[in-house]
Amino acid sequence: MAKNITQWIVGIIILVIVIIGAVLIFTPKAEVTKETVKIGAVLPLSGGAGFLGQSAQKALILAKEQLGDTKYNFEVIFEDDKLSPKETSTAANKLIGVDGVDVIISETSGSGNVVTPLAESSKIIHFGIASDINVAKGKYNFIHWTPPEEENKVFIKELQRRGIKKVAILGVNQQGERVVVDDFKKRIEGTNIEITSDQLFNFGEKDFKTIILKAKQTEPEIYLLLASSPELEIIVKQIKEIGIEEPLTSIESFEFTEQPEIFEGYWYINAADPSEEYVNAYKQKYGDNPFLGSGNVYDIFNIIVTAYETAGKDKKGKPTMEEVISELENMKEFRGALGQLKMLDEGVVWSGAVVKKVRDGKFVTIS
Amino acid sequence: MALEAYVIHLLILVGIYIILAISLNLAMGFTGLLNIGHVAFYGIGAYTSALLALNLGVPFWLGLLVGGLIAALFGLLLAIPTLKLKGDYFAIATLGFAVIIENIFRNWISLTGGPLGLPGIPKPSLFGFTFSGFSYLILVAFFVFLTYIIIKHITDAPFGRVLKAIREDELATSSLGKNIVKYKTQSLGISAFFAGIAGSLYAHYITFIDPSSFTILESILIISMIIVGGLASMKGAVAGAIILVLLPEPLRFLPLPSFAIGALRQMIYAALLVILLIKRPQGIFGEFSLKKES
Amino acid sequence: MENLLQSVNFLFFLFLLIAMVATQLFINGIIAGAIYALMASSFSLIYNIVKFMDLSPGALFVVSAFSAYVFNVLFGLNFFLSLILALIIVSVVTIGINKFVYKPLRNKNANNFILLLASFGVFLFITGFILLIFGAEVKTFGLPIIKGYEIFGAIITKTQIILIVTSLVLFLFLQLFMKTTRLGKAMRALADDRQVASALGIKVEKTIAVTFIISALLAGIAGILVALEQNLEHAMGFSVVLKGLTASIVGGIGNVPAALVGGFLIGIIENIGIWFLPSGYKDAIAFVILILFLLFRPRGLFGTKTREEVSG
Repeated sequence: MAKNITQWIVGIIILVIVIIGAVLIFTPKAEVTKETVKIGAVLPLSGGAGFLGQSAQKALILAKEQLGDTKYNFEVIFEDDKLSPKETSTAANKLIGVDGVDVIISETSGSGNVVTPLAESSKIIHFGIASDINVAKGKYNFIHWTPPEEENKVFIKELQRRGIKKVAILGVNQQGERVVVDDFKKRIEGTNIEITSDQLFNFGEKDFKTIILKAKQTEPEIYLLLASSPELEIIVKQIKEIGIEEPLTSIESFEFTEQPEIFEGYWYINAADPSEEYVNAYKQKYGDNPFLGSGNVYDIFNIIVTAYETAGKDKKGKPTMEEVISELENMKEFRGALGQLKMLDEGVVWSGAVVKKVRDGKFVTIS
Repeated sequence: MALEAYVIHLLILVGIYIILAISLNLAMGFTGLLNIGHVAFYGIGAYTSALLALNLGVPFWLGLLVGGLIAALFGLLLAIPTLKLKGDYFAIATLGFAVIIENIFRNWISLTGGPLGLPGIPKPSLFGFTFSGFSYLILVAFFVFLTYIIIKHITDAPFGRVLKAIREDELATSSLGKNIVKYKTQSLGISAFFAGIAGSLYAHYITFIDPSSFTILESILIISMIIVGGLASMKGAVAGAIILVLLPEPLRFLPLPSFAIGALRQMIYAALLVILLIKRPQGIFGEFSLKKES
Repeated sequence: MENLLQSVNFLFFLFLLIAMVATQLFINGIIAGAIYALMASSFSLIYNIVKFMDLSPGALFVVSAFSAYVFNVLFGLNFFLSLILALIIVSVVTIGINKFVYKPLRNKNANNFILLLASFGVFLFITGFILLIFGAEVKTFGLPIIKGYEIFGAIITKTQIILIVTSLVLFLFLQLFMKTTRLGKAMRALADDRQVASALGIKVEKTIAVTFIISALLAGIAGILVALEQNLEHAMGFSVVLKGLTASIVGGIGNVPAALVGGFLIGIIENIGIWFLPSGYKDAIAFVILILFLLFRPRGLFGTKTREEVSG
């Protein structure tokens, strides 16, 4: 009996050593002709949010491909975090400890909050695609996400322009959504706009019929859908099937869909508005549309490249962390996939919001 | 930062899972209580400790203790109604319990922050010294040691022997005059207490918790650890935790396309579980396996 | 007099409004319930006849949906042909699961908990495989969006009607099958007492195999219907199989027909529940019902007395 167990344990240990050894031996070593800047990306590549992470991954690969001649070699290393804090922590620790990354990118506020203290203590740059301002805490941490204030300002203006007063909200129970709604509630104080119904549902929900009914009972003039694919398409379908004819609108989500027809005629707010060239380049390479957040990642890559190239222009070897951060903080204007960007004091990359409409299946800016 | 940071991180996780595995083993392996909801106690301990620290400035040491006690309280609360259920009915009831608790974490936004989670949980400190990295590992190791000693003591003592007797033959044990309900309840309560402690250690390490850390799949992972290691074996629980935390890590280094990695990890892990259940259900150190009652 | 007339008018419309909302709520519940009922029947068959809690119907649910998607949307085959091909695939998969996982475990006399755990493993393996092949992006059958029909002030779409009708029809077929065919009677005999059944010459293994296939077909059809009504993604089977389990227990152990009632009941209570509570608690509602039944009426609404209740 004892021999059996020992065999098992020894077997497992040998297996682990063999796997690690094989990888270390057979992984081709990168050519060391240029200095390399390593960028680690912790993304949800599998699990419920897999499509989010996979699109971001594709965007990063596209950005790297499009890089022209640069002084430094920029390498991206991907790790899957399944949107679980435990996995994010392990992935980040591996990227920092084993790969020695200089920069780390994370996606969503949840993952961002895990990486932020690690980045600060390890003294590496962290860019989060997150709406929670906590993720940008500390001089090493930055976020690239349109501030809710910006989105709501544009949204409220459009509501007032069209004389719409009663809004029903159907939103996904998630960090970003709550931040936007809380800000919206603050801003409509003193105006004649009111929220007649404010409902939340969880990711993965497929049956919205009853909460739609609840919203319908409050007789809103417009339904604000704060959700993205795949929940978004199902909600729209179920709203129309129940015969609701009031307009539907959204902040950010209508463009990240494979079924633009169902949003025909609706106006909406788009933040982080991806440029046509970005969308075309992405589509040409991958065949499908870029998803929410992928443009942000694309921009982050280019922002980092610019920062390093500028900071290290006259240096031998790589610039120091402080020098790169100084470049980032001083970045006043930047033209990215998401349009005109600028760096705010708190480490937030600002991008603007616009009003758009779905006309003939196309997304057209109307403001 | 060097390779050590990554290794230390893994060891801390291993330590936390050892505590979870050993505590579950007490209820499941020794007493035969098929608790699929163990993760709920883990989460309750984590949220309690985090909320106390964030909202009331309670120091880690007290938060840890209270986290464990509240988790134990929920253990007792769960035990009272469900203990009369047999085998897989009990298992399903505990599953339901875990789902309900997870729902509460996710929807009681004013208390738990809902999906936003609780960021910025303070690290433990003692006389001005903050535990982080290697020192946190020592802290975790200390609690692992403590948990191991206490639970080993319990299982070696007469109390533990009664638990095993209950697992083997409840009817016979009760006819010998032992109050089955009392023993089972205490076993579940103690099991929950240590899971809560693990939760607190987790919360103050990652410094951010959200409902997604405490799903049913976590419970299945912990159950797999004690099955791999061998039910009712202290060494087994430790071995199981080590293996299941460390085993997926080398996969990370394989040159596989990233989109496939997550899917493959899930498949390999699931296949290992099933193969183990078929080929060697007693795990590495277990002396017995759960056989059908005749 | 006018005041009275006005108040009556008002009350009448209020009642009508409540009734309309209530009817819609009821219909919403029945639609969700139809799916739960199918999964409950699937789960219940195995639980009654093979005597363990099996979560693999959740995985078969997903396999069926994706298979139908591949044949119909990717290969452009006729829908009914795709349906049949998908069901064939699902039958093959379940035979495979039974042969490679459940049978070896049953031969070793594994207890129910191990089988439950193994079924979890099977579920994770299969859904992981689906994720590997299809990626994480959600797929749909892309059916056109048409406003539903109005019945008693509530709206229901064609797909939803098909869903409910299919569920009821399949259920009736299942009943007929169990009552009149030889295989059906063999299944019931196994459910009652395996040793006696075996002694009477019933081929146990063959009957069990058929049970798994029928269960798989039920789960498979449910999967395709849900894919048509909603969408497809690799994790779609987890929640629904747990609801099916809940519905079986609520309806009654030892009684497959009761699974249908359990399914519809859970669907209705969930929808009424989230009228009053935040919709995020939907799953919790179902499980609270489950736990209440486990505690106070483990035999369910219509089940026969369970072993526990008999022996005390």
